[in-house]
Amino acid sequence: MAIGSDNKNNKVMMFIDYRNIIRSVDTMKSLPFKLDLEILVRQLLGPRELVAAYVFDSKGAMGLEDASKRLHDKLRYLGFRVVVRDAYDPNRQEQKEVDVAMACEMVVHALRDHYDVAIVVSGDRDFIPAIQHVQAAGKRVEVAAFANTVGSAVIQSADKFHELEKMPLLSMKNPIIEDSIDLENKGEV
Amino acid sequence: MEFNQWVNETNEEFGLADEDWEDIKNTAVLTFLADESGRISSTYKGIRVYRHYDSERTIKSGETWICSLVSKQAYNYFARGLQRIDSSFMFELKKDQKDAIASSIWEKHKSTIEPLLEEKYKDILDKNIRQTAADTKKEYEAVVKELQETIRRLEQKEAENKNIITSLHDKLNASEAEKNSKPSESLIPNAPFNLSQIYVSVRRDSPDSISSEWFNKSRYFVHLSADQRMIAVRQHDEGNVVCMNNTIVLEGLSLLSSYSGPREMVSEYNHILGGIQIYL
Repeated sequence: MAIGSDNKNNKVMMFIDYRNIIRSVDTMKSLPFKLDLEILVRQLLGPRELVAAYVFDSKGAMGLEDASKRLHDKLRYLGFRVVVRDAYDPNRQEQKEVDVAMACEMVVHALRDHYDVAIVVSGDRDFIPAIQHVQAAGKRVEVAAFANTVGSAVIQSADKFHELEKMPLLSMKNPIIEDSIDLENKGEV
Repeated sequence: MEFNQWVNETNEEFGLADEDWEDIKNTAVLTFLADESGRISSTYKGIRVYRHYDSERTIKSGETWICSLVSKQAYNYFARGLQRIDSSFMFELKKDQKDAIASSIWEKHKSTIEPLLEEKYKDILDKNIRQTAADTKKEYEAVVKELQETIRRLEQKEAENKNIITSLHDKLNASEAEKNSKPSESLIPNAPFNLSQIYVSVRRDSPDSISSEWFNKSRYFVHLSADQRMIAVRQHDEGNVVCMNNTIVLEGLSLLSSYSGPREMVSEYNHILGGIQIYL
């Protein structure tokens, strides 16, 4: 249990490393469940005030650009601030520049006092220096990640850790109106 | 009253015989003291009085006796002790007798007794004044102490009351905040919103369907936790899951949890989620 409280007056900014968390639910690709980013934000936020929710992603690999663009547009429509970097290494299936972009955004907003609490949705330990800088600026940093993508160093660097496994984040649907609902899915990826 | 006068009055009152009168006439109150040679004697009308041989063992030096005097020689008396006058004798007297003695003593020796009494009572008076002052001071201090204790209790009570008021304000604010953070009643009809969690009845009716009296709206959002242990059902007008006849059919439910016949599922209302969470 972390010390400190979820003060409802706290201003929260959320930074979602999209590729990092989507990798965690890849194992459930065969099942008809999709990660719902909107419900993820709502559950992590609680009664607090949301300043902005950033989603950091790279453009899709060759041949998947359209699908990727649709997803980004949908997220923008829902109110997410989507930051997309051009670079993507299809051979290593690895995005470039995204981590640095996200770290810069976290630190800049912290130094400009745009938020009280940063919620980093990623288990990537590359963010540890950025987390430490944000904390040094007097901000609280919470990390949310799936257990299979997070190391102990990241958990220890955070002021609070959210286990995403235990949160109901995967959207289910009923087979009766599956086709029609697919068009209305909100934030599901 | 002179002793002889008292004797005369007694004679008149009790009608004494002449021989008794003769005895009484030779009666005197004498105090005996030992002289330098150790011989015990007293003086009556300038004549030395020695103890009669009948009374040599009873009359002692320093004692005062009512004595019957016998004159065997012209220049000496011999005294027979009739009654020793001491404190016990005085205490055995009746009150009016004591009063008579006291008033007689006072009249005759007022000039002597008065300074003595003044001296004696001055000390007593001073002592009483000091005692009274001490008692008053003690009483005053007790009252002051009691008042201070009362003030302390009242201040403590006031602090407690302030704490209670602050606590009630905090509770009220928390209650309002909680109320504001809860979903509107339309999301979960008939939900007891004053409770954070309550148990609700949800049944697994078939491999892919769940039913409950709580599922009385047409659209819901249903989400599964990544550890596949819990699903959350939240009513929403734009929900992607349709509910019919209090039953929700979910694709893939049988893949998450095997079906072995109809059963009650462990479930509860969770106001943070704004819906019902069902454990698989």
